[in-house]
Amino acid sequence: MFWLPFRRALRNPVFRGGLEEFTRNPVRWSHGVNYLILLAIVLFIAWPKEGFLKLRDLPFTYVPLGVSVLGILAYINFSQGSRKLLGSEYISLRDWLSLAPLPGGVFLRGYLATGFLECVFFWGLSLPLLVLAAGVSGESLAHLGVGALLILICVGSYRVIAVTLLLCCERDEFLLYLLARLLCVFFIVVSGFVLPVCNPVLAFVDSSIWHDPKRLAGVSFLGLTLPGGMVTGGLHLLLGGLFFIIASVRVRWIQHHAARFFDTQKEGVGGGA
Amino acid sequence: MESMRFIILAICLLVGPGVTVAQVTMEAHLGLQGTVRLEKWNPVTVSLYNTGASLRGTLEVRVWRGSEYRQDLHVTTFTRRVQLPHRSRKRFTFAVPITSISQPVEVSLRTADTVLAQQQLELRDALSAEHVIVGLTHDLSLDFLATAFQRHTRVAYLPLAELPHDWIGYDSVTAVVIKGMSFQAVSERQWTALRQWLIRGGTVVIVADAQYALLQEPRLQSVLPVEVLGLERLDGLPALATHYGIPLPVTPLLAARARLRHGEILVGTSEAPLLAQRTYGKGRVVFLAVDYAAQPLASWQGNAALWQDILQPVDRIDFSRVFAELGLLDEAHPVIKLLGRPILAYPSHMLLSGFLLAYCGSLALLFWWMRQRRAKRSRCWLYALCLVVGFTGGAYSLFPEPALREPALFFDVSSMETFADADYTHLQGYLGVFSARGGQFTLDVQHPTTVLRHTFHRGTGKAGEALEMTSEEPLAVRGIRLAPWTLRVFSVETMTPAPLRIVTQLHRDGLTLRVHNRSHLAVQGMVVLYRGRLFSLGTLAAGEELFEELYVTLQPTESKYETAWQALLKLSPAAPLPGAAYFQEVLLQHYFGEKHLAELSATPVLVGWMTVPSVLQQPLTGSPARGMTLVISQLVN
Repeated sequence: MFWLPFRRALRNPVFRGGLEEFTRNPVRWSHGVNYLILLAIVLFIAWPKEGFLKLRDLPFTYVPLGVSVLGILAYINFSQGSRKLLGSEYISLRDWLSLAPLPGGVFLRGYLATGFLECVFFWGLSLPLLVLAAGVSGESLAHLGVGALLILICVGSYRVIAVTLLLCCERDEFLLYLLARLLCVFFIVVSGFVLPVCNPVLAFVDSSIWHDPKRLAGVSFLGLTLPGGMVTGGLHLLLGGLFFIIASVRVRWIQHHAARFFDTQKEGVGGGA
Repeated sequence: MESMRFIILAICLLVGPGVTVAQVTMEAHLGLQGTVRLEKWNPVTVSLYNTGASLRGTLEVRVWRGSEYRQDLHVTTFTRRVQLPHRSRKRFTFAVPITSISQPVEVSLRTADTVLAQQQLELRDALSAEHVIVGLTHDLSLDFLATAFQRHTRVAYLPLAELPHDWIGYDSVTAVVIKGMSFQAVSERQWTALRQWLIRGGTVVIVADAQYALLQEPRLQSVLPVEVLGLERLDGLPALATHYGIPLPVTPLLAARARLRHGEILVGTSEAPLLAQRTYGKGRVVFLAVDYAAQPLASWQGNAALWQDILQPVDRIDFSRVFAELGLLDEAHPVIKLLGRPILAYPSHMLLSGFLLAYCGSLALLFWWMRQRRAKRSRCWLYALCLVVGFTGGAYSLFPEPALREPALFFDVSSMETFADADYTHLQGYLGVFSARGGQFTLDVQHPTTVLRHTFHRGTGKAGEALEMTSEEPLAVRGIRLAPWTLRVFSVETMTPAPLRIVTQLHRDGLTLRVHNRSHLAVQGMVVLYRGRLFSLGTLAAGEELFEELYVTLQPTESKYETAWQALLKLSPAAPLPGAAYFQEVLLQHYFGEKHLAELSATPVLVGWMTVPSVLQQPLTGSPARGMTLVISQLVN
């Protein structure tokens, strides 16, 4: 049951192609190592220097590293997601989608799965460093697990949003570039002030011993008080789902219009003959 | 219908006695005959009478402590399990701290969630006093003391049967005056409680009257500064009149004939002492050879001066220590001082660099290999996954700070003061519970008569406002709720059997010392500090005895101007665990302050170490308590 989505994904031709391309492309591995080096520098700077138990200050290793991971991964997923991942650079995604003999759903799922693979790859690389930081910050495995899961959920949903933007605004490159970065800044920074419950940084901090109920208050829902971090994760999942639906509609719309266009072309060619 | 009623009535009659509802009458009294002393532990006596069915329940006494100003207001509940058979009457005594009169003391008896009886003791109605004197006399002749001092003083006359069973029952008492009472009648526990309180710093005044034979009984004889030989008739008390400069009518009177054994003479001579005293631990025993209630002393103008000398009612309060225990002077509190030392063992930056280099290097090598060899797609991912999982496991198992992974860190920094001729020791403990992740914790305490003096919390989070203390063995402080990264500190005090039996003889060139270790633990790093010199005695194993001749004429190796704690730290035993040396440093600093060796020359002192906690019990599971005990013995009283 657990393996079912993976087996289906492996049968998806777009995902198989993406996987092959990912494996053969040395640039992606190189990005991974660079990302890791950046995090290693953050960890090295934030690593505790002497064995004092400072009562007035919370340990300053795990949260900075986690926030760095979150920030970098959010940027990567917004920027990489809003760029075409597969195929020739001379053919747009819209054309590729119009010409490819694939149902829209299969294409979208395969394309997103490839994007998630990249997302999980970067996320996985940072895990040993997060474990290191948690070990010297007094964080439990539960905190670490929740924090890591939250990062994965948030950056995964950003990937879906970015892909949806790509499908909608591929022709307006500048607008796409701008929108992706603005959204990244909104989610990582601005939402902390205007809509804290949507802010992944606050949610991550909330899942650590830096938890402060004043910072990210819980939300009452059907008589239950849900912790702020859980609400943020849930909202991101909803957001991801919503944008997936938008992306599906857009893909179908593109294919529908392409089919109509080809039909018109055929009719035109037939009439002329 | 009639038959149905009959059946119901019959069932009620049959079942009735079995379902009798418990009916408990409660009567609670506060203080010693209604007198309480603020900032001290005062007795609360609860009488229960059960007219209903037999029951088992919990008797609780709730008191508010701390202050809103210091932001450490909290409620402490003292609990005791009780069993009350049908038609039984029982009496229970608690000792509870009273710090202010703003909140009442609540006494309640409950079974599970049901409150069977409840009573509130209004502290505003209690008789508050700055000095409480307990009179163990047949008459009420001490009433004059209520007006003899500037400070508000009250006298409570107690029957011997009502004497406290634990030393803490005397905490609110300034002095105990004994006249015409036989102490052979009190229980061993009551006698031990009185002696423990005396060793801790109490004052006992023993007054002779016509029943001089009572002072020759073994118990009183063992604490008296004099040996009572009999009675003699005197014509006035010229020595008293001369001493205080207030004339005393010359009338014939009876006085106890005695001879000084220990201590010093205040009035009279060593062969005919009128007023003598001796130290007993940190306390004093005063002997008055004449009856203060008989003429001519009863109406003497110099009574106030005489009793001023007898009671010496000066609160010798070490304010810096009290302020530290209240949390007002953080830098002076041993546990906070200890946390100011690098007690954690974080992996070094060098080790971290090695790990990061290995991780990044391995991944880079793997990616390079994949590119060069054009390995299979699945194999590439598998290798990368193995590498990440392997390094994650390595990071988890090799790199944590072990202490921070524990649910809580328990600290026990204790000093144990023993005294010549006293078989009990005064143990002062500073306990700390620190939790990085928060939770609820319990402190199991070794000694059943331990009292909690002060508590406060520090850290980024908050500590819970409720504590529960069991008033029966095994003693425990329960319900210590801590938010993440919070420390709660406790100052506790108790009296325990002295681990060392020491006999000292001073002579011109030094001293002769015989030390017997009666405990089941070795006393390590023993050092005698005398006339600014240090004499190392090494380790004394459990049950062993040591005999030493120490000559102060020998050339000292240390400078007289070196601070005592630094000089003693050099001679301290090697710490059993990394970071444990800081316990020694903090304890020595706390006890000796910044005094130089030259300043500590008057009386010889023995310093030793027990490398285990003395207040906290080691838990069977979970985090061990980290602690050390400084043993200090005044070799000459």
